[in-house]
Amino acid sequence: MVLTPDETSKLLKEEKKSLLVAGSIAGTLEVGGKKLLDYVVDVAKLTDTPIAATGNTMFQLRKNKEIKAKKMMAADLVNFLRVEKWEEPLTPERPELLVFIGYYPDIARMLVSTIKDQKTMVLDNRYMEAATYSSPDLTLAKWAEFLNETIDKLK
Amino acid sequence: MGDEQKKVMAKVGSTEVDVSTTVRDVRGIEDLVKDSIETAWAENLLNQIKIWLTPYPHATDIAEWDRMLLQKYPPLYTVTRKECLDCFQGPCNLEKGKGACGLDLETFQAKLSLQSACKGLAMHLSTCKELLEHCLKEFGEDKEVKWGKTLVYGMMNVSILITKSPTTLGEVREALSYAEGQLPELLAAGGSGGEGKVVDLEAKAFHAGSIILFVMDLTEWLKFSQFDFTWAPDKELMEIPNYPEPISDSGLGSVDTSKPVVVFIGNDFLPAWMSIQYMKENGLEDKIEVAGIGSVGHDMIRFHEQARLLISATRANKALRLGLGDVVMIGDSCCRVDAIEEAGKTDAKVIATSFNNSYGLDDRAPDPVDEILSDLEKGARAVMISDPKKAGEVAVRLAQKMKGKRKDSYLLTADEIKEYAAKCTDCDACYRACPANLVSCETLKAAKEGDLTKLADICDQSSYCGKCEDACPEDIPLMSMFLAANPQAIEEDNFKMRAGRGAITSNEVRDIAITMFSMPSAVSIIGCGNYPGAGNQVAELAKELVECNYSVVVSGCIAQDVARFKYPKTGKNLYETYPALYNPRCLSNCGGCSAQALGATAPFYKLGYIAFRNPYKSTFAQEADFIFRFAATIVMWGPATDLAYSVAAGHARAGIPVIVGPNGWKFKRYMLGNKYNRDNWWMIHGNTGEKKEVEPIPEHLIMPVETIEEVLAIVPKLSFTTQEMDTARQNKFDLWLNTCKKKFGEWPDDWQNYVKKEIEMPMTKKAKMLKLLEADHGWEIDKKRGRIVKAKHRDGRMLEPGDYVDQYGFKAGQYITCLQRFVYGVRKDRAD
Repeated sequence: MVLTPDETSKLLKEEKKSLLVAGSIAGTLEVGGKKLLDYVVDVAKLTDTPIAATGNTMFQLRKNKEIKAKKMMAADLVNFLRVEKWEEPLTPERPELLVFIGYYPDIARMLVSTIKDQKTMVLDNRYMEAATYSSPDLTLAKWAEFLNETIDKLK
Repeated sequence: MGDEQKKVMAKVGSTEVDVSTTVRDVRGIEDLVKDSIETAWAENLLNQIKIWLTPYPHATDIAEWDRMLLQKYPPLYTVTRKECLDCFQGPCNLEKGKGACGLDLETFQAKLSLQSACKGLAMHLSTCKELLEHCLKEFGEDKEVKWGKTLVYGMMNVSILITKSPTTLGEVREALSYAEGQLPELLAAGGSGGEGKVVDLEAKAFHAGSIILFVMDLTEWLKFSQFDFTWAPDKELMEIPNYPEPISDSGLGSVDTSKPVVVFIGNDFLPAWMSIQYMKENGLEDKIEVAGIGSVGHDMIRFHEQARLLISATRANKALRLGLGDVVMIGDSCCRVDAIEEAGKTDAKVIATSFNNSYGLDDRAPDPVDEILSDLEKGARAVMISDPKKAGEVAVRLAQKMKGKRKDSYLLTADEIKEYAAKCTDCDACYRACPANLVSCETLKAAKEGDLTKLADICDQSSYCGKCEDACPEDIPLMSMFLAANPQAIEEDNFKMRAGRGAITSNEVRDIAITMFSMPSAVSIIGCGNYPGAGNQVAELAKELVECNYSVVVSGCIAQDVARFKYPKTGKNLYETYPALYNPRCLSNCGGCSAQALGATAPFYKLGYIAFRNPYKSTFAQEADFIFRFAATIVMWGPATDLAYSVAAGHARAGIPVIVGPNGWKFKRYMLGNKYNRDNWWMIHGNTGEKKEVEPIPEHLIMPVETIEEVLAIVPKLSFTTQEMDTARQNKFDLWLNTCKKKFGEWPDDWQNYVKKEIEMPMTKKAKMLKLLEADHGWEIDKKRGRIVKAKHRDGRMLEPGDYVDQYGFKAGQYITCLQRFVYGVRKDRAD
């Protein structure tokens, strides 16, 4: 499903068992004059959602004490999802919605394609057909608008 | 039936074994089996486990081992294909249920995995076969296949499967025919109506991996023995630290374009070899430049000092767009399918040379050289010449004729860059198409205003796949713009490469058998160089590893990227700085693509025999069981082809964890362990047969990662072994925890799973570790004395330290195994 900011914020608000998954690009890429990871932090704060920090993103998140975040390997995360018993302490229960942001498109596609039983959302600027929900194809400027609008609607 | 066959007995010391009891089917290989037992088995071992050999194995012969691995590391698939089109009963959408043949979605993914492994195997099998056929025609089947004067055990990836290492070309042919026989069997299993269980399909994908390493071994030996490639086993140990000397001029800036230039691309070196022979015979060595892209370049610098190694095959477009070659020779694999079109953009002529890669051209091999040259001069853009000797002559003579007829430079001018940038319509299609998020309309907007810095940055970052250009609705030649924006970077891409050394010697393995008790581990960096980002990131990885005292071996296209870093103080690169030994704090380059078989499995098979008398002839499972308990890791950074998929499978099957990234995510099948699932972390006491819980070691078998920093963090973790010396575990803990803190700002969440006793804790971290064990993990600690009073087992029991060590993992020195049949016992089925 292709998302609008309105739908994105609604889904993020409604789903109580969600997990933000921030990939390596989130820590390096600037979108609309702001680090992509800052958008992730904003969403995490507004929705009280923990962050699985993959790649090197934890290094930048470590000082932010207001959010619950943990360094994880992306492969570990998707691997844990497929076993019967959820034991990863980052979330008390198995997440039902995984929100990916900050991934090379090929990696994002591979990640969401491993997940069978949970819903997935990709908020990068390429439409990801394999995900349950995805932002549409966007220019960098439109991507910034999309993220800002989503965050505004979460407030 | 005829007369009763006479029993063939193998004798080791005073023990005799009926060879027919040691293999599935002994007919026709009695002497081979006898030799395998008598030359590789120690008498005491022969009397302690049931000897079972698997000469010339089918995949099913090793399935017991494969199933153990697949149970510990169940394949995780990225399901990107849901519709099976493999037969004419379909198409079947497997997302909605089983297909017409009963196939389900997950098994379909396993089929795709096997097909990928088979395609990879076919790629190299074909290279080896072409080479062998040439050798047989030129030298005959009795021609000796030398091993090198210091090499004792021969081709380890070969003998582990078929017992013997070939010593003549005829024997190489026999060995290769085994591999050729396995491929259709594996393909059939992965086709319609074939295997229907994930475990069987993946076991066969493993087998394709073992076979590709087998064939790569054969290729490497042919290269040395028939073409005098550099070969460390032919040198004395004292010569090897600086062998071969790092003197090969490499990089895109190394080519003297004032001379005619022939550029070779691909995986087979014969056309290059023939060109150089022609140059030598005609006194042209100093008058013509020869350069290689990809594996052929790595091969060329092993037999011709003046050859240049340009760039990895996946970035071939970078060299082609620069127009470095007057003539471009295309080999059998790893070539762009649009190479003729790309070469044509710089008026270069193309010669295709392989039956695998004919580009729609007629084979001109039967035609006279002058006729072919005349056609090319008259305007033909490309020809195919399957005869490497003729192709070599045509290439050299054509390059001479072409000189002066092409432009001095094919770089765009600053005005042209601006002109093209002005065509940008701000759609960002380039950004969305770029797999590495490099180029966008912002980049072009700046260029339009005369600021080329953003474009210049991309010059070194891009893999030149061309997706951006393809996506651009205005046909802006973005790749040409990256190059033109930073000509200085091209000029400065000029460094000294240490050519491949070939195999690791027995003497080096003896050395490492001692040092491995305290060294962090042996890491082999392999791959195709297909990764987004700067070309020096692999050099950074190798630098960090070697500086942390790992034994680092590199091979494949990526070996060149390791040289793309210079220490600022000395101006020397890593090859110029570190000894080329297989030892801690050393950096060896084994060579190009086929050398990927030489840096990990081969030395570890040797290690198993030298240090532990583990037999190495037709005993795959036994050697893999050994390697699985020791610390070796593969880092495959930037795989590009199915060949890499196969190579990864081959190493994983041999018990060596493989870290793949970042394009390794596209493998679509990973083999991951789950640290929380304690049921999977066990080993068997080799004397008692008792199955015991151990640390999650090695945690993963084929693991994708995103960044170099993740590699650096995961390597020490994967190199933990269930039984190691205290100093080794101290080292590994230190490296692991330091790296995680430095790169991610925090310690990992599972370090406590690897603590067994205080002495294994690094001194600088012991206090913190003890404190956290008490506070976060429920251990009882005597803080004053800095001692563990009670350790908390993962099952919740509080245990005395001694009991904990007894009940969680194994002590160093104990014999452990993963298969019950390797448990020692007194044999009762031997002849008196």
